[in-house]
Amino acid sequence: MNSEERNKLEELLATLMESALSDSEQKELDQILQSSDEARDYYNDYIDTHIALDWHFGDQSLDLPSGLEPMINQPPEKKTLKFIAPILALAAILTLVFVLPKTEKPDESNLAQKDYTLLKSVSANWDKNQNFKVGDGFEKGKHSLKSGYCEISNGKGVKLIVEGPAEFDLVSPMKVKLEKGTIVAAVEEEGIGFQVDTPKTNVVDLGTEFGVSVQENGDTEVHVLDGKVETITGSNKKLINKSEATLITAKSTVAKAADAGKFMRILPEKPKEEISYIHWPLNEGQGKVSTYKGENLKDKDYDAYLKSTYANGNGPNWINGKFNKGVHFDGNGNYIETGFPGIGGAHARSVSFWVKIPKDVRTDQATSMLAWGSYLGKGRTWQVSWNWQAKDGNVGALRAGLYHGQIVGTQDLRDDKWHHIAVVMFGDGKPNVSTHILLYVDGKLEPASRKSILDVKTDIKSKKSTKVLMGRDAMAQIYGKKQHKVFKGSLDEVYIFNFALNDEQIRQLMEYNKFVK
Amino acid sequence: MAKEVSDEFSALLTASQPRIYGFIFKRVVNHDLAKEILQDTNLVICKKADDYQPGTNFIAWVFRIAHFQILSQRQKANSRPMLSDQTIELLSDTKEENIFDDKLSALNTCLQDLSTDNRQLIMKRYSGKFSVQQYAQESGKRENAVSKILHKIRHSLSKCIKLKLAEA
Repeated sequence: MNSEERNKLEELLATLMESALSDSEQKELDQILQSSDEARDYYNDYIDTHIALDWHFGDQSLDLPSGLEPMINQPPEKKTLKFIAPILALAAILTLVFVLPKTEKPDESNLAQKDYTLLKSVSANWDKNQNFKVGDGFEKGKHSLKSGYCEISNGKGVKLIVEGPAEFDLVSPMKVKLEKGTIVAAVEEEGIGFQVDTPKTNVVDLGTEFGVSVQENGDTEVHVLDGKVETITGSNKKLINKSEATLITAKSTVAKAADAGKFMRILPEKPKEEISYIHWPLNEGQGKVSTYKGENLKDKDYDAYLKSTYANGNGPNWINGKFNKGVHFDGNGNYIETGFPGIGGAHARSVSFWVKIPKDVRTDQATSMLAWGSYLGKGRTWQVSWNWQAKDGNVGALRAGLYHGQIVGTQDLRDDKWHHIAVVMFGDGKPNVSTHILLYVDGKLEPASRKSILDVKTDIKSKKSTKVLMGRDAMAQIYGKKQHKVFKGSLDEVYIFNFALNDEQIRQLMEYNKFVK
Repeated sequence: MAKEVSDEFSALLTASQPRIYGFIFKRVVNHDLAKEILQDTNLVICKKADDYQPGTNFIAWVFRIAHFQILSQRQKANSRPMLSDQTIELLSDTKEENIFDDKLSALNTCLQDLSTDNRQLIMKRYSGKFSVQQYAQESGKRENAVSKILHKIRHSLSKCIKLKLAEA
């Protein structure tokens, strides 16, 4: 394609995107597209970008063909495609096995008489051996959260979620100075005017939710998740609106799109109603069936069946586990099948188990320790494994995969030692991988080496979903790829809960193999 | 009336709509005609739902149906102009359809690299908040100039998406 053809092609595409081409223009386009692969590649990429933009920003131009309506049982007035997916996702959510727990909020009327009060805490580790409990007040002055998360309130319409490591100074009820780390402020009407100062700028809330992140060198990012804020940098004032962000360094100020995935916006609530869980102790030590225990489960066969992908295979071996017996998967066909569907939709959940992975394990023996769901769309799988590819984060580290999205921890688990694993997802709002899933290894919150953003909508309803598997890749199981992707390693004491476990519950499971409500 | 299809099939079909639309649009280069053919294609896909073998390439299967719908449209007496058979044949050689999901993910990242003004413009254009004509009137620019700005943004997004996919 010469430059003249290239310019003409671009001109025609610019016109085509906004209106129709004339007959002669269409002929010109046809000729250019015939002329070279380069022209066709450009054309394909360009139109894909147009379609992707359409889809990304709301899909306004693609009407649902009327013929589809009766087939998917929709009310006739819902005519745009964007309505289909939420309805299907809703159907998946409606099929939860467990009774949905309601959540409770701390009673803020009983807060201690200090400017700020601790509302929630997740694996929070404070400097100088400080130990804040929920309901404790904070003195004015500097505080250092070495790791974990906490939610604090000024009792005047402002809630802050602090993500460690963070150093912050509680200056007054309406002002916090953030020296380092990340804070998300959710401000109600009463709290408008609340201010977060950083070494590079001051952020004044104008009725909103915003995230502020300060690096070691003082570089500051402000992301507005809702409403708007004003930043005051030197003598410059700047308004930042919803979905916008600004990066302020010593040399420059750069506008960006807000990235909600960078920030933890909620911390888990304590479940109020009865909770449910299933537990496979894997203690039989012989035979091909392992019975389940649990609370508030439907009366069904949820036993674990020890199997092999080979017709004459023996299935997993019984070994000495972390507590009593456990099972070993040889990475060559062994796996466990259960009749338990898992937790569906965006519902809160936790899994907890012990795993031992040999040092010489191959990357095709990573999936999975525990898995359920389907591959009928992004976010529909729930698969816990170790990470096998460097592009997603540290290889060998704990990985929770959702199909086209994952969160990966840091510690390499391939050391032939038992490790306690917990993966916890909060169920409020609209969970996605990065903001709502926490990984724990040996009772400690695992910093994520990398995470990607994706809505969680685990599919436990469709015929193409698999019930809970151990030691087997969910996709290989669903699509009958017999000898592919089986896990190599040992498992013991596998639990699945219908709510987000807290630190203490994880510790009790790890130390005593006991679930404490 | 077409029969009911399973939830899984609906989910697959729903998720594939932008790709099917893209496949058709690239060949007929007309938005209205592409929508009409998409509608016909969806009906045929649902009628033939039982023919689809789960686990096989769904997209390849629906593209074949879409391809025949485009050809049958061309054979109609009052058919509207579209790309020539030869060009359509050449376009079929490309493999663009298989990486659309990856392109969608890359777009998300690439949008963040745009300037605030450009991001807002493209957002308004694609969320249906205004037409080019409306924006031209409000901003005092010529429609042609607005189309050109939008083109430049799409061009740079395409380039960025290509780079991201190459990196991955």
